[in-house]
Amino acid sequence: MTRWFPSEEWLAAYQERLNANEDYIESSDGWGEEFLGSFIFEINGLPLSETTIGELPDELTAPFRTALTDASDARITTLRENAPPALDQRVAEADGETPRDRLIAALFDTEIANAPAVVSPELRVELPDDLENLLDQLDKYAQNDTVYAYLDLEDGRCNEATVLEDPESSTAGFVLSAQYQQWIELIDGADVIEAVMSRDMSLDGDITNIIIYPEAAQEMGDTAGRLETTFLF
Amino acid sequence: MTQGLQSQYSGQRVNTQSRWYTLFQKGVELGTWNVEKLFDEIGFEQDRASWAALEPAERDQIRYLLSGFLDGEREVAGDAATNLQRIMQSPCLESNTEKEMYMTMLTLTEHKHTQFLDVYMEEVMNDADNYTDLDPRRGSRIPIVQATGLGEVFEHQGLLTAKAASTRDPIDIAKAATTYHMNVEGILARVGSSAISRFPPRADFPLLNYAFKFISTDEGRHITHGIELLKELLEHERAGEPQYQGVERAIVNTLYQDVPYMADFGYMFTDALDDPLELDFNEVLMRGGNLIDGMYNETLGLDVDYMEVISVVRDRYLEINEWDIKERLAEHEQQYQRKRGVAADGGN
Repeated sequence: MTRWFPSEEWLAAYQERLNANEDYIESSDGWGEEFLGSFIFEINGLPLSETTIGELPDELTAPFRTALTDASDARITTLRENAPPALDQRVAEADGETPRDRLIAALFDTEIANAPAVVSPELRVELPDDLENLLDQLDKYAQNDTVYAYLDLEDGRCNEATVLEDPESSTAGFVLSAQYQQWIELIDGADVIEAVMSRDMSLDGDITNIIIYPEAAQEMGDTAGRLETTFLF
Repeated sequence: MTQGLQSQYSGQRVNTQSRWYTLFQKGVELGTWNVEKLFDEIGFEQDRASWAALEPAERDQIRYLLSGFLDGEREVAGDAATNLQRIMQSPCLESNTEKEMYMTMLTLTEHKHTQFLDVYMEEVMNDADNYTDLDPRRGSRIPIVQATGLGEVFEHQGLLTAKAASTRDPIDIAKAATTYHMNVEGILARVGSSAISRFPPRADFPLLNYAFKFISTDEGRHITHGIELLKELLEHERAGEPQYQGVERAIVNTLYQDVPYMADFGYMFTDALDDPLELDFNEVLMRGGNLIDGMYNETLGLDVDYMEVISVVRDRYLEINEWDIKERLAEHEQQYQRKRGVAADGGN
């Protein structure tokens, strides 16, 4: 199964890998016992307003395009008739010889940030499960262009890993923030400590605790790097 | 470096196009602020009033921070006047004449920094630490500097610069320049200056702040000199010249040796005193880490092993956390007073 980043599924897989990582368990022995060991990962600058549905990876969007291309004319007519105003307007402005072409063009040119207003319940039926799930998650969790993930880390275990719908309501010992591109580099193998030192990532929290557990911090980064990941953007 | 400040003149014995000549000129232009004029123009009144209004623990925090500077400035001024001046004459270095010229500016400004801190601590803080008969050049350090590890960095600097002045070997020069310019001036002084700039409003010290703007500008030129010097040595090493092989390793290893004691400096004026002025040890550590990355990795193009840096800082931090810092300090203060021949119950 593809692990899309960022997503609930990626985070769940990360939690599972951390809990199975003997090096992490050993190096974080005692972590968070006398201080708040939880982390919030703040992923800033997601290109939700710049990226269109059509610009998402083919693996996600090709089945959607095929479903619309293969749908009957009657089905296309139903989709057009039940289209929300935001989609109607886009279809009217779209290029294409046939109503089907214009519907596809309008949908695939829709920015992710605008997808909830454009993708009607009728259209959702045609969405592949992965794409529907990810668009739902982005709608639910993205605060403007930022997504927050929460990890409850204590004494070598990750007890909880969730994407936050309301980050204000969560308190964590540490907040690790960076632009989305930097998170990509981290998952691709960049050194998390070097990223913080060079200010590519920002770390808020009691640094003296990180100093005592540098191997744990390194293992957290390395575990992410070993997770098979496909980036959404 | 210093583009646009190239000299329009030329000479026979002095290379006016040398980067060190340009630094010298900048020092002549910018480094000649007058400490006594600053005292006259700004005065001590506000600084004294603020000092008097602070709680004892807050005063200790500022005293410890400035004590680190006072001993440090005294040490770098002394080494500049002696060892660094000789190092600049080394045959393995280029532009010896211009480097020697620049070193006179560096020495002058370091002595002015000592002058400022010594008089300021006497006039404003009526300090117990800046006695003329006891200073690093005479074998004693201020108790808090000696009680924490900061004195170790200054000792290291003295040893390395003395050795380099004697051997004039590129590896020894690299080690000396790393401790002096990168670690002491580039990290410790900048981290300390940053802490001064973050004093809360109740710690309003206009004279101190004004002077530290000048001091920071001076230090900026000194750091530039050190970086350019190390770049020169690295270029020779990277060109494969046998005499210079080992420069890069020497620079990085010198960082690993100094960095745990450098972290002590941050601890000494923050968490060792429960940080009543909220200068924040975390902020200090992060600033130090950022400076290490900026100077060593980005500017010099080295590859610092951060796990090594953090591991040695961790070991040292765990060690000092076990200390009773007040007990250690009291021990050094008693020793200090004994050396001065002052009775244990005080006296000035």
